[in-house]
Amino acid sequence: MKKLGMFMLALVMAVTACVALTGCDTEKDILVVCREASSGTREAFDKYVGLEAADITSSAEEYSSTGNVREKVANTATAIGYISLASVDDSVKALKIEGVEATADNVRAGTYKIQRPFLLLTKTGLDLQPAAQDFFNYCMSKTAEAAISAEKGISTSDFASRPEYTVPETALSGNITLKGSTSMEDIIKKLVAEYQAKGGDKVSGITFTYDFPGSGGGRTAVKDDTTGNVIGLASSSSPDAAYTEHTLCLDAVAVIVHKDNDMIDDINATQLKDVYTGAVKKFSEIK
Amino acid sequence: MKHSKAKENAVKCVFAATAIICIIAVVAIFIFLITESIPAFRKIGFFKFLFGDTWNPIASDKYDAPLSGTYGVFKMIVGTLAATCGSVVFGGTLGFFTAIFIAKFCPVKIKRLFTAVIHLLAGIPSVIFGFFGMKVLLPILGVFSSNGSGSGLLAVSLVLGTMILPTVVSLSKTSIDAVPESYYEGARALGATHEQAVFKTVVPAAKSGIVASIILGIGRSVGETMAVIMVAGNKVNYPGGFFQSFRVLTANIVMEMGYAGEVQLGALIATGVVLLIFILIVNVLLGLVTSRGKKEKSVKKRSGGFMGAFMYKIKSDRIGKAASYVCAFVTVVALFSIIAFVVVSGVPHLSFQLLFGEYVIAGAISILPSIAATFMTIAVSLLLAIPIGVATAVYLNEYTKKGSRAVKIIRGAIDILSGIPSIVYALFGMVTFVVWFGGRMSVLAGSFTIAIMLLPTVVRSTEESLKSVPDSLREGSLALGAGKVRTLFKVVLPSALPGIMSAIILSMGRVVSESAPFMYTMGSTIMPMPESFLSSGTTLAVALYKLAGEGRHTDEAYATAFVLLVIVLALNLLASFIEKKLNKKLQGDKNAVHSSKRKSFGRKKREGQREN
Repeated sequence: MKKLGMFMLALVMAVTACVALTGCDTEKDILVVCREASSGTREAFDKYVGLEAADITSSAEEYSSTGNVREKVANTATAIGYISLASVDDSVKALKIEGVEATADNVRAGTYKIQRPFLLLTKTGLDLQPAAQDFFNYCMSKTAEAAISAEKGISTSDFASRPEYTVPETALSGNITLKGSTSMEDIIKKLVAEYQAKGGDKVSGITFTYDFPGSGGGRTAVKDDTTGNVIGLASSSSPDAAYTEHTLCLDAVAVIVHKDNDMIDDINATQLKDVYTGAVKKFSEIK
Repeated sequence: MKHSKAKENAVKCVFAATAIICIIAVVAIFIFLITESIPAFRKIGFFKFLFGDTWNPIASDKYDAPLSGTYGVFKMIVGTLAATCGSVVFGGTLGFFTAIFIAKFCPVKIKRLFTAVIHLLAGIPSVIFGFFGMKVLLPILGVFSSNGSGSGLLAVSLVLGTMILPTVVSLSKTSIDAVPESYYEGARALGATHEQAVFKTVVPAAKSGIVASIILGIGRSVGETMAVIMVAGNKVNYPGGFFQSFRVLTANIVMEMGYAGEVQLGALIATGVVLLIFILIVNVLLGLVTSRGKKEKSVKKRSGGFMGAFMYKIKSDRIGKAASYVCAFVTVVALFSIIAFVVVSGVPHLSFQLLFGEYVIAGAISILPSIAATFMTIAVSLLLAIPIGVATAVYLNEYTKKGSRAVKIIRGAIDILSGIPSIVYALFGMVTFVVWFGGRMSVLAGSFTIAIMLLPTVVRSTEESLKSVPDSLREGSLALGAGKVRTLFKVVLPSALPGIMSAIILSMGRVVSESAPFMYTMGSTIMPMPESFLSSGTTLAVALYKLAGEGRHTDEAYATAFVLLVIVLALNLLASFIEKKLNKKLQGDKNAVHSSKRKSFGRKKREGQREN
């Protein structure tokens, strides 16, 4: 038993030594984090950077939701990733793009480059059911602005001219399926909460089904819809005859790093391409 | 008399009908997999699909138009193989030596506790293993990896290895325990030391059982989804190093099934078929090993096989002994740290709001809706699976000729079903049940999906317990003039009750711990209280996956993991309590001696696999 104890002690010491040796001083490689192929966020990012799926460095990691990316970047000192600006919180640091900070004003002014719309999709040639139509009307009204900006959605210039939402006179019921972009999860949930608060018992008979598999999933769901209960959510534009895109608000894609990362504040498309293709492996090498 | 004959026949018909339902369900999955994947195989090309190394699906690809995406799963096949090998190297070795330690070197005092803990761990949901990997393992491994992430083959191997540990340990231990004491005594009488007797005589004799346990572990590794997805990195890559981000077959399905277009969905189902083939290979291996094990015992052929070579390498028995001490220690540390992690980080975050408060959309988090959804799912799925499963087992065991071909085939199919990865059921549920129930995810759709998954388990365990009812009881009852139905309900089923009860509790445990089948059948977005069985919702395990991945609600995730663990623990305790109670009652009431041997059904069931 004594020998065993010694052995374990030696093992522990060896491991600690290894950690100490490898952990100090040397700068680690960048961990590139991306989204899966159907993501609207990824579409917008790739478009800005000029990135092809095949070129992404093989050491990259891929996650299927906004939250997963944020979690990974928040927990890894060397990570770089991208998520919806609306989902950035203080667990991560958002970088400037070409010297421009990711703020609502800069997005509206068009100076912040990586931006895209948040879209509601409805099927062409199929009328929404009354409940879904009412919720849709609410989302596209001036009344919803407070909820949208509370979740950091960026209002477009046409917001002021949007109609006011009025609560329906007769009580509505039915199911509404909201499916698509994970970037829109927070805003959509907030809109539903406000809608329910606003509509009271007139809308309390409506049940909501959420599914956030990414923008691509929202497009497919709307195309396949036969009931008029489905509102698709997409965070990048991809026009198609099968559905109509309605701009809910604007959003930007924020490039995020670990919150204690002070090696980098500002980045541009060329640099991002170098990082995502693996041409540049360390933050200190970004030029 | 005539009346009773009619009744007999009616009951027989009912059993036959349920058996047919069960068989239809079983066959439906095979048909689904085959018919849905063939167009994809055709369109993509069988060899291109299997051996192509580019996976670049395009959701808008249709069968009647040229493909614009590329569908090759070879990298993921390699990924699954590598992850499985890694987990077996780690979990298999640890499990092997730990089993030897528990069986032969462990002080009697801690032996029972050790065994109990291992059994408990077998029931821990895989999401918890993944969560542990993500929160504890990755930061540690990140220190050694070049990019500080820690995801990759090593993390996957460690997490999967730990997951299969309980399986390997408990099955290996049972087979070591099953070696006749005379082998050991004989060796000692010839002058061998305790260590020599154990490593040169007992362990080689238990070889086939040990190999079988490792093969079962392989099956579990191949099919695991959620735990892997949390630590693999998931980029489609060859697993080129310990810290290279890579993707396994199961992860590919779960990551893309939510938005897959026509051809892509076909390709994902085809991925499921590849997984199924893997499982079939594993099953065939298992069959070979167990049947060879039987032969060997009669012929007493010694050595040979990889275990033999392995044993030969342990030249010094003292090294073997030391290894089993070390491995047992590592196993204890690994398993204990998972429990400690869940308890220590979970308990402080338990709050009234989280457990019993109201869930507010975009506001306060509460897992009460998830708890409710979990129990709703348990209720519906058991209501479906238990009657059908039990009736099928009764039909197979009581109404058919023993050893008839058709029955053998049915049993074979049921055995295969029990090995199919849960993610394949998820695909099936998404394509069938979700469509049945109005085209949207619902508790019902999730419950139907998991009910089909439970069927094989229920049928198998009920059959085992029916088999253990001695024929003399049946004959006695028939001789006293009772009809077949009466014999069945008054004599056979009551004696088989402990087995059926544990099947029920095993099934509850399965519902609680599974997550992959629910993601796209029931929902993966945490919702307010489900209003009906047609509402969508998340079970606790899915809620944990969601909360853990989001990053915003880590505290709640810890607490959820703890609640999940408590439920699993409670189910385990309940299972052994009921078994004890029922066994005692049976013994007292009917003096049914046979049942006293069957202390724990779950264990017994597994033992059955290698007992001659």
